[in-house]
Amino acid sequence: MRRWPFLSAALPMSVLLMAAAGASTPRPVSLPLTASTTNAIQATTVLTVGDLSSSIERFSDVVVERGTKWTVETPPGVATNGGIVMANFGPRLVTATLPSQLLRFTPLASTNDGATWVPGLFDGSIQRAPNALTQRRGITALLDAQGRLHESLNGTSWHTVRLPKALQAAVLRQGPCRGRLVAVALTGAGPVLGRSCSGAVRSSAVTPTGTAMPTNAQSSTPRSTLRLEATALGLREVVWLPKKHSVELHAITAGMAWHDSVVARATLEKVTATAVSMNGSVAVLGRIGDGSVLVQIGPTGVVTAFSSLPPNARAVVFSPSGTMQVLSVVDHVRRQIASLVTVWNVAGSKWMTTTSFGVQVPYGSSH
Amino acid sequence: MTGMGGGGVETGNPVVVEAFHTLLLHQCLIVLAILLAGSLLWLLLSGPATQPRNNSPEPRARAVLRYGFAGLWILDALLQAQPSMPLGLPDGVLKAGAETSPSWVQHLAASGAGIWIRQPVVSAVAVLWIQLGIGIWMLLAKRGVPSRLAALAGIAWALVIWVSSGFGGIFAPGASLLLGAPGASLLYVLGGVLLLVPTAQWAAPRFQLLIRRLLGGALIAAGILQGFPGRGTWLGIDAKGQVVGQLASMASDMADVRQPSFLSAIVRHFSSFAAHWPILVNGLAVCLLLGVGWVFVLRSTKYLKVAMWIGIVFFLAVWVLVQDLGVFGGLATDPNNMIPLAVLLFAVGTATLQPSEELAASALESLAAPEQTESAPVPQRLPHPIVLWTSTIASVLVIALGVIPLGVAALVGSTDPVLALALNDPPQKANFAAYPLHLVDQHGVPVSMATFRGRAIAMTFLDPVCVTDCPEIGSEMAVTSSLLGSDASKVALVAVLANPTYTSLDAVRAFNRHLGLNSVKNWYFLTGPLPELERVWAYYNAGTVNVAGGAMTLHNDLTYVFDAKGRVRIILNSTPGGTGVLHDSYSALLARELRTVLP
Repeated sequence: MRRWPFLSAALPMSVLLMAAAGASTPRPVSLPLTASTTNAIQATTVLTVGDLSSSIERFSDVVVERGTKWTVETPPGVATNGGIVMANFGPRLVTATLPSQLLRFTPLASTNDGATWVPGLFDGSIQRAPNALTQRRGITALLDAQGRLHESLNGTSWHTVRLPKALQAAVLRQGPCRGRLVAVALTGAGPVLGRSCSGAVRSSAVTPTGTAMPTNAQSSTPRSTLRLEATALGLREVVWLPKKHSVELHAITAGMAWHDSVVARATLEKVTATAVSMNGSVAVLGRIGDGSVLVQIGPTGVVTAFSSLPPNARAVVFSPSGTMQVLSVVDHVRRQIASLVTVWNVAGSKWMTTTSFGVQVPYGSSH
Repeated sequence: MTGMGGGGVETGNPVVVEAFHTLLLHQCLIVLAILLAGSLLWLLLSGPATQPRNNSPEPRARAVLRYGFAGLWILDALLQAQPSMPLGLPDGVLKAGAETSPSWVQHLAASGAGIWIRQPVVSAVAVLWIQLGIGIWMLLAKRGVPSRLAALAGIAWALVIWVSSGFGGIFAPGASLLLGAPGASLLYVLGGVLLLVPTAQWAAPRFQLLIRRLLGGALIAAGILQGFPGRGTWLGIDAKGQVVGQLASMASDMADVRQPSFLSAIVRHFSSFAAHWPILVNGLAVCLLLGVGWVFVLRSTKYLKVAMWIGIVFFLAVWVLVQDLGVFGGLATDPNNMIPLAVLLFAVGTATLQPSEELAASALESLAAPEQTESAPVPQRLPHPIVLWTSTIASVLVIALGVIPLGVAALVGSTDPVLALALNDPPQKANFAAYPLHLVDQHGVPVSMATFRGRAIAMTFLDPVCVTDCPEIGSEMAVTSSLLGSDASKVALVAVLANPTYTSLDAVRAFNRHLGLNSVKNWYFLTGPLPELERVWAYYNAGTVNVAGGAMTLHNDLTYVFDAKGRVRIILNSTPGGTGVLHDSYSALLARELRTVLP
C-alpha cells in the first residue's frame, strides 16, 4: 500500500513524458545540395561558391565533366542563391533553381550540350533535396515543398500524381515516419520515393503505393534519404541516420519483388556532399570533429575512408570512367573575383591535382 | 530606409533636404502673413477699449512658467528646422528613445512614427509650426481663457511627443533624471498643467505647499533612484580601463559628438573626473537631489530660496556637463529635461517666495473681476482682450498649418514621392514616339500600341524570374493603380518581359499569380518572340543581358510614361528600394507623373 503514492505520481509523469516525446518535433534534417551524379556520358555536380555565410552572395553552379574537360554549365537568366537540384539522363541535364528572396516559383531548364537551354517552369517551390528532381526517358518528376509528386512530359505542364493516403505529407507527419518525401527516382519498375523521417522507421524508401521497401536494416531509427539514384546495377539509396551519425548504402533491385540489401554503413558527424557513380559506388564527404572525411562505399560494400583530404574539399564526383575525384574550392570573397576550383584524383593515399578552372561569382548581383 | 526611418536614404539626402526647405519657405510666407494680419488687426482694434474682465497682474511664478515654457516651445520649433530632421527623427529620436524600453513601448513608438516615415517632409514642417504656434500662443496669451487654451494645446502636443518617443525612457533599465528621464515633454505637460490652474490659486498657501511637495517628492524619488545600488551610477572605470559609470559614459559619449571644441573639452574633463571619482560625483548628485527635494517638501520656507538656487545651478551644471546642452548629442528635438526642470523649480519656488501682499492683491482683483463685467469702460493703454484673442487666432492658424496636413496624412495614409526621388534619379522630360511593338499580353492576346490608344501608359521592363526588384515593381504597379483611383481607367500599366531565357507565357502568368496582379484590370505583362523583345529592349535601352555564374538577368529599371497620343513624356530611372515605405513612395511618384499626362 505504501507504493501507491509513488505510483500515482509516476503514472501521470510517465504519461506526460511520453506525450512530450511524441509531440516534440525533431529538427528537420538538412540535406546537402552539393551532389554529383554520373552516367556514361558525363559527370555533373552542383557546387556552391562565393560567400557561403551570406544567403545573397552564395551562388550554386552546375559543373560538368565530359571526357577530361570540365565546364561550368549553370542555367542562365535566374539567380541561383537558393540552390540548384539537377537530374541527368543520358546527355540531357535538367536543373531546377530553388526560389530565393522574392521569387516564389521554380524556374527549370534543360540542355543536351550545356550551351543551349530550354526553359521550363514549375509554379511552386520544389523540395530542397538533391533528388527532389529526376528524369527518365522524357518524363521529368519532382517533389514540391509540400511533398507532392508531380510529373511532366515537357517541363512546363505538370500533373500531380495522386499518392495514397499513407504517403501524403500530412499523414506522413502523423504516422510513424513523421516526415516528408524528399527524393524520387524513376526506375524501369516504376517510381520509388525517399523519405526524411523524424520518427523511427526501418525503411525510408517507399513505392508510390505507400508500401515501405523490404529492408535489411537492423533496427528502427529516424532516417532520411540523402540520395536515391537509379544506376546500371539497380537503385542506390544513401540513407542518413541522424541519431547514429552514420550513412547507410542500400542496394535496391526489382525482380519479382523489390529487394534490398544493406551494403555498408559508415560513421560521420555531418554530411556536406554526396556522389553516386554509374556502377553503384557511393562517396560521402563529411566531417568528424573539425576534420573533413571522405567515405567511399564500393558496389560490393567495401568501405574506404580518407581522412587526409585536399584543402577546401567541397564536392566529390565520380567520372564516367569510375574514378573518384574531389573538387576543392577557394573563394575570393574580399576581392570579389572568380572562385578557383581544383580537381583532385587519389592515387593510393595521395591526392594529385589533375586540373583547375575558375567559376565566376556574380557578387552583388542579387542585392 | 533602415529600421523605422529611411533605409537606403541618408538623413542628409539633398533631395529631401531641398524639399523640406522649399516647403518650409513656402509655409513661412503663410505664417508671416498670418502674423502680419494679426498685428494689423490688433493695431486697428487697439483704440480705447472696454475694461477687460480680468486685468489683475499675472503672478510672477506663473509668468516664469509661461515665458519659460513658451521659450522652450519656440526653441523646440527652431530645432525642428534642422536639415536632417525629416529622415533622422524616426531612427534618431523615436526609435533611439525607445530602443532600450520593453517591446510594447518600441511598438508604440514605431506606430507613432508611421505617419512621419511616410510623409517625412510634411511631418517635420508640420511639427515645427505646431510647436511655434504653441510657443507664440503661450507667450502672448497672458491670462484668461486664451492662456489656458494655450496651456491645453501644449499639454496635448507634449503628451503626443512623450508617448511616441517611448515615454521618455522611463521603462528603460537605468533610467535616471540626470540622463534625461522622464523626458522633457513630460515636464512640458506638468508646466502646462500648472498654467491651467486659476490665477487666484497661486496666492493660496495650500496650493503653494502642494506644488512644492509634489516637486520636492519627485526630486527625492529621483535622488533615491540615482543612489540605488546596482544601476551603474556608482561605477567609474572597470578592470580593463573602460568607462562603465553611468554619468561618465554619457558625458564621454557626448564629448565625442561634433560641437565647439571648448565645450567638448569641458565635457571630456568632466567625464574623466566622473570616471575617476564616481562615488564623489554621484554622491554629490544624490545629496543635492535629496537635499533640494527635502527643503521643498518642508512646510518651513526658511531655506527655500537657497535650495531653489542650488537646485537651478545643479540642473544647469548637469545640462552642460552631462547632457552637453542637450542639443549636441545627435538629432535634438528639445534641450533635454534640465532646463524645463529648472523652470519648474524656479516657478514653484517663486510662487512661495513672491511677496504675499503682491499675490494677495492679485488674488483679490482676480476674485473681484466678475463683478466688474457691467462696469463702464475704462480707457487702457493695452486692450488686453483684443490682444489675447488676436494672438490666439493667429497662433491657432499657425498650429492649424501643422495639424491639418498631419491629419490628412494620417487619414489618407499616402507616401511622399520625395523618398523615391531621393533614392533615384529625378524624372527626365522626354518627347519621342513609342516603338510600334507587337507582343502578346498575359492572356495571349496580341498587343500593339494601338491597344492603349487614348490612355496614358507607364511602361517598365520586368524579369519574371527575378528575385529582387522586379517583384517589388510589379507589386507597386498594383498600388499605383489603386492610388490613381478613378483615373486608373485612363491608364495602362505595362511591363515588357526582360529575360532572354524565360520568355514564356507560363513565366508571365506565374509572376502575375504570385504577386496578385491578375486582379489589376489595367495591367499588361507583355511577352513575345525573342527577336521582337530584343528590338523593344534596344529601342528603350532596357539593357537586358544574361550574366554567367548564377546571376539573374541584368536589365535597367526604367519606366517610361507615355501620353495618350503614344509619345514618351517622362522617363523614371527608379526602383522601389528596400522597405515598404520606399515601395509606396515609388508608386506615389509614378502615380504623380502619370497624372501629369492623363488625357
